[in-house]
Amino acid sequence: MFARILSLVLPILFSSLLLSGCRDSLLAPEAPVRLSFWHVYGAQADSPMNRLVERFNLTEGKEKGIIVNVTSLSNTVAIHFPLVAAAKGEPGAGVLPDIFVTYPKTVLTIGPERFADWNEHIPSDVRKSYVPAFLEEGMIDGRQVMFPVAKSSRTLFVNATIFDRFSADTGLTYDDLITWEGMFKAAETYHKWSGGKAFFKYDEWMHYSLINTVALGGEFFSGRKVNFDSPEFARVWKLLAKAALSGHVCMLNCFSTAAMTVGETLCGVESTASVLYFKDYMTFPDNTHLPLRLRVLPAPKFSEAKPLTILAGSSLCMPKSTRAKEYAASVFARWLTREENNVPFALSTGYLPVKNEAFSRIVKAGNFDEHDAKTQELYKTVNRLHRDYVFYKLPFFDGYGELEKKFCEEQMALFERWIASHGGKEPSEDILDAMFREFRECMERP
Amino acid sequence: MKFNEFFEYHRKLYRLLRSQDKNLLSFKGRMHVYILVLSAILLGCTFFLLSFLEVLPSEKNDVANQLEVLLEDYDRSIATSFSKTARHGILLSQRLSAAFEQELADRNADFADLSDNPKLIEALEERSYSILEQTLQLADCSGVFVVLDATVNTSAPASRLSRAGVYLKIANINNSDPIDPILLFARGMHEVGSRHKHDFHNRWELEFSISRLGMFETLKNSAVPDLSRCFFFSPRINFEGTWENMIMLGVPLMSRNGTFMGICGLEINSLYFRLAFPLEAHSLPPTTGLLACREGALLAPAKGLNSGAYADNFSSSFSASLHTERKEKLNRYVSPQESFVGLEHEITLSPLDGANRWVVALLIPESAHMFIIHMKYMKMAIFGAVFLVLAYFLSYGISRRFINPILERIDAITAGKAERTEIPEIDDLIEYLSREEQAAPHVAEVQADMTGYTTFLKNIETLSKAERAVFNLYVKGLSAPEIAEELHVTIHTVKSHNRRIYAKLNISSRKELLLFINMMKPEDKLQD
Repeated sequence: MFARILSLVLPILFSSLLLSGCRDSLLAPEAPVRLSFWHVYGAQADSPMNRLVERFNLTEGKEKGIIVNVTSLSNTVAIHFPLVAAAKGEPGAGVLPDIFVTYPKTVLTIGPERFADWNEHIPSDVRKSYVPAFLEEGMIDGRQVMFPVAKSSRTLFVNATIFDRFSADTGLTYDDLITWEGMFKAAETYHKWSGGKAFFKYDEWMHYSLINTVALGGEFFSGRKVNFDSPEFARVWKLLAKAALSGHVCMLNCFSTAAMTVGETLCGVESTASVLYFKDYMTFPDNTHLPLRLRVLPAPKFSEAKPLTILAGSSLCMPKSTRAKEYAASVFARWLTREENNVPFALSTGYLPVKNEAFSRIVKAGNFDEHDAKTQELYKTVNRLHRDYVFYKLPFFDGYGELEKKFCEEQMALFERWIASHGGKEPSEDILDAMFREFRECMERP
Repeated sequence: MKFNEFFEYHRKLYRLLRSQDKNLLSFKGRMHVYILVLSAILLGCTFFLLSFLEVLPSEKNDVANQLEVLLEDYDRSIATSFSKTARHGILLSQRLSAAFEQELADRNADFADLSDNPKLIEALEERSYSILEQTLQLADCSGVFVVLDATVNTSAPASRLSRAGVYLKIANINNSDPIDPILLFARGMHEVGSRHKHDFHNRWELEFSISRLGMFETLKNSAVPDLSRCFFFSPRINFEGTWENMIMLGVPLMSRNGTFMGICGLEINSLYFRLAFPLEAHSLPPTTGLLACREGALLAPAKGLNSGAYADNFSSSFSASLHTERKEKLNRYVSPQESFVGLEHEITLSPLDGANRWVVALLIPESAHMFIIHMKYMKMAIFGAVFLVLAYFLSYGISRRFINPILERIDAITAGKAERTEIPEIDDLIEYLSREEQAAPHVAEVQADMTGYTTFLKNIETLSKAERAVFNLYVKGLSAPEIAEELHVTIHTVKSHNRRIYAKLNISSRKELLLFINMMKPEDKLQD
């Protein structure tokens, strides 16, 4: 009799113990797990990610016992440094958040071993629904340390309000902006037409040199250093230096978006996600305004170069933590990338969704009539990029972030020095050679 | 075997308790039930006494006490921080006013000449820049600004509400007080921003719109030279086109001759507030802190800022005013989305608070509060249940240990093996029985009691099958242990049957049973 009762009670007892060890029991709605979250979506605008986080907290999070607290908003450039400082425990740097979005360079700098593996919490059948290349980007040492949320590319945003006037006066058209040769020519013409204004800006200067060198068949990196022996890189860089010294390149220390809205430049190569940050008008020094219409084109390429376009976009990372926090983060990541959440978020921010089906539908769609003019214009170009260009994944390695920072700072400082001494007129080949040599010295200096 | 005995005992106990024939309850069973009832009464009395003396923890009191302590700290840190912010604002105003007067004097200009004079405005903005930057580095804030009572172009549309000035904001707020703040140029002349090489904010504008800066007119109308009596914290405003909500401190800019030159101040945005005043109360459910405005029975969180678990990431919960129901321990705050319980303190932020009654409040969701109360009761119930289960087994053990020796002695007596025991009461009983036996009336006298015998005979039919089996074996002359062996049951079962047989046949002893059996005719004995 007793043995019979034991045979009934013990399985129930063991099942209860096993269930208490299962994943869902890691969360309890009554005692929610709190996740601090740093992100980059809409820092200086009306952040769609903040709204998404709030919706998560009020629905899935409330049901399962997760509260996501956004404790920092910045951009993909700015987020890197405080994260690295926090990870290194630098004085005054604060604490590393539970989850954050960043580029692989940050993960490599902090050390991939300090991050949890998303694959431990997201089953393989679920992972199959994501674009393989996006997942692959987050794989380091066989571990999924970064999880895709949204991806972007680089496009040329043109202030159509001014360009149409410029075009009418000069005969230059948007087709001239497809190649860098056309861009430099248009920049020269615009400089004269506008009374000395810069024509374009490029948000991440190293990307200009990198993508164009590679598109021309050159090697931009030699090991973990910039390959100054590449003739393609020398050509690409000197053309930019020439435009900069001639006053055709906007040297303002801001994103192209801001420079365009104050009329400092006419166009800029920037992330597709920039569409979120454009205001609908320009402001002039006399405090009058003009509506700002945008045209979006593929980023220019050299005429004989391969059609490459950068595929970028930060991913979600979680430093190793408690099982409950890691599992809660995976619930949040899966919720964010559900099609009903991910597609509207992507379309409102200029990103691309990360699941196979949604990605294909967005990049192949030709009709975005239900969206505003900016979004329609952007996704028409995304459609063109998908059709005619090859997506190029940025190479990331340990020290990439520091290299990129140094490249941009040294180049900017060099241009300013040379503009101060030789600016305002077209530089000779000797000057460009001297600038290139000096840039190499700056970059090779420890 | 012991387990079988245990279960058999409880099966019978259960049946007896159900039959409500308490007379059939064995001595051991009675003792078991009595000890159990005593334990339950003791447990109940303990709970009652602890509760009466308020020794028993009440979760409502606990939460209220913890919230009160937390609120004291929260209130103090906000009051101190806002007071320091106000002090920085006053110093900023004094430094800017002096710098502007100096600049105007250097240029031999008057403040009244400022409008429509972009060069002069640019000069004043330039002059203010480093002062603003220094203030931003030193003060507890997320932004700093100066608004001049002038515009670059009085003929521009909406110029009546447009005012020149400079607005710097911190871009890298990821802890409350960034050591190395990255500045964004949010308002001001383009040339000034470019010169200082700070990024332009994506929502940059040339000038401020005072329609969105309501305190400009308030301060203009109430400006007095004593700035410590003339500063103002605005209710929350939104930085147009962004997620940022903020409270602004405004201080008037006054020249030495009393001319109102504009206002300056500091900004505390929602993210900065959340990081500067974190709420980490691990012993409490997720708690949210509010700096809000009280409007009668309504608490308006949307006019202030908040921090803690349900901070800005639950803005819809705090977008509507919360109706407040005052309670003895914890107030109840009800919004269309959710109900909270919590506490609040009134706080004075500035001498010009006026219609804005600021309060600092701490709220926890009512559902979470109820859950912890239920959990507490659940714990007490589990404790009580465990206590009773233990008491049950303990009382079973005690009654068994205490009664078994007595029963064994009684069996020995009934088997005619009476001998002295170590239990005085039993020894007394044995002595008494032996005296009684000696003094017992003769069998013949007993035979005279035919009435009892008649009842005995008549009631034999009422015996159950099991009882009849035992009875028949007595008829055959077997003793109780022999009957137990014959029927493959325990001696306790036989005794139990005996008690029922005695009751049904209206006899009081084994002796009487054997007497009547002897008196039975052989044909009566053979009946089954």
